[in-house]
Formats: sequence, structure tokens, C-alpha cells
Amino acid sequence: MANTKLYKGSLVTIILKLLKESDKMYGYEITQKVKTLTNGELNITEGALYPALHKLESEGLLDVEVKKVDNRLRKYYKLTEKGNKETAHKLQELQDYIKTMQALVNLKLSFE
Amino acid sequence: MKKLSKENIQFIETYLENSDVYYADIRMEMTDHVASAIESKMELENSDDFYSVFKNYMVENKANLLQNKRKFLRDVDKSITKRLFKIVIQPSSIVVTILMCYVCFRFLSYVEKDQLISIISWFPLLSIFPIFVLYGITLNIYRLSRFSGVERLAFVYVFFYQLLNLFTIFLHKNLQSETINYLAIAITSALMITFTKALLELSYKMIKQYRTDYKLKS
Repeated sequence: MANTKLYKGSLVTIILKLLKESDKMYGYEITQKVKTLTNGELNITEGALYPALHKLESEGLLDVEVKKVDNRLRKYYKLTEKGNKETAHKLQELQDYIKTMQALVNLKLSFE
Repeated sequence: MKKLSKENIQFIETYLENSDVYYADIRMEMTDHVASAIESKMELENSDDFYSVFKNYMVENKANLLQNKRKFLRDVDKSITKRLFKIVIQPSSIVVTILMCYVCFRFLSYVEKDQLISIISWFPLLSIFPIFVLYGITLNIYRLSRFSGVERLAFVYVFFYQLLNLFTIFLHKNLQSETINYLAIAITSALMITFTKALLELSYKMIKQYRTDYKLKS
């Protein structure tokens, strides 16, 4: 399994990006999507996912919709207009971070 | 895909409720998460034994699920405080504070000292009235379940009630002294009224939000 500490700071960006790709998603669906996309490398736990979703909801970045599905209630999350803007901003931030890290990791020291 | 029966879902919900997940909004989401995970496991293992899969799932994930509950409540408290503060500093609240300060100051000049003591002693009792109205509306008229936001707001009310008790002690002391500071009494009263208004406004918004968010769409 991946080093979760390295991914922790990007959890919000991952959630926002996934929600941008689809109309709406529910918690378990997000965890499974991440697992599939990363070939099981990244496993988001309930203890990390839901607090992040609720925080985004209280910040007005996500909207919720409750539906009755298979004998139970399901809470769907979708991006608000503010959430869409924030996603673009977060993705840009992450890309810049990756670029910086790549520059550092690929650094060839002159005395080598 | 294997689907859980109504009884299975009820079993998960009761289990979570017995694990101190009291609030309907968080329990609903957890129930769906656990049910979805169990359905996937049953499909993967080609098993029809719900109870065995459930037991194994809980052994592995219960701690994580309950951690989610604690974080959730912390977020609710933070969100309530933030929203309350936003209402208190919005222009309409500032206007109410200034207006109430003026009204209270004018009112104090017409009231006898003894009368004022008697009025002030009613303050704490009057302040608890909105919470009864709030619960009456949410639980009886709208038949809302125990939603976290509404219930955690009750803690704010209790805190506010204690604050009012302190306020009345301060007023009683002030009224017993030779020189009564009417302006201080007026300002404190105005702030208390503004805070009550903010609490009621937030309660109304929360109930409305829960009613909209949890209006079922099938």
C-alpha cells in the first residue's frame, strides 16, 4: 500500500477532481473509484473521507442530495459553482507541487 | 450484485445506534457505507451469509468508522460557531444591537429600580424559551430525526443560558450599588438580544437546510 502520509495533503484535491469528472458521487463510490484508479495502491478510509467531505460541504464547495436507494438512504455529493472554481485552483496547486518535486527529485548534482 | 434486505439494513442501523452513533444524518451515511461495503464483499466472496460478512467487516473497520463520528461532531461544532459568528457580525445584527442599546437605555430611565430587578430575574427563564420552541418545531411539526446540527445547537443554548445567569448576577450587583451604570446594562442587554436573534436565525436556517437536504428523491 502507498505511503498514506504523502497522499494525505492531496485528499481534498482528489475528492474535488473525482466529483468534477462525474455529476454526483456518494462516499463509498469515491473510495472504490480511488482504489480502482490507483490499482489498489491508495485506500481512502472512512475516517479520512467523510470528515473531508463534510468540511467541503460546510465550506459551500459541495452540495448534497439524499436519495432512497436499495432500502436505505444515500447521500450524494456534487460540486457547487464555488466548488468548481476551487477544484481548478487546487488542481493547479497540485500540478505546481508535482513540478517542483520532480525538479528536486530529478536534480543531478554537478559533483556526481 | 447482491443486495441487502430491509432487515439487514435495519440491523446495521441498530448496531451503529448502539455504538453511540446517535445522530440521524451521520448514521444514515455510515449505514449506506457499511451496506455498500458488505454487498461488495458478499459479491466478491459469493456469500449469502450477511451476519458473517458483517461481523468480519466490523472487526476490521469499526474503529475507523467511530473515528469518523468524532471528527464529524467536531466539524459540526466548528461550523455552528462560525455560522453564529457570521450572523452576529452581519449588518442587520449590528443595526439590531445599536437599536436595542438605544431602546434599553431609554427604557431603563423610565423603570424603577425594584421593577428592574424583578424584570431582570425573568431573563434566564425567557432565554431558554427559544430552545423549547425549536425542539417543538423540529421534533413535532416537521418530525425531523435527531440531526447533529440541531442537537449540537442545544449546547450553544445551554452555554448562552449560563452566560445569561452570569449577566443577571452582574446586573443585580450593579443595581444594588449607589451609582448604577445604565449604559453598561443597556449595552449588555442589547448584546444578549442580538445573540438570541442570531441563535434563532441559525436554528431556522439549519432546520430549513435539513428539510431541503433530506427531502427524499427516489
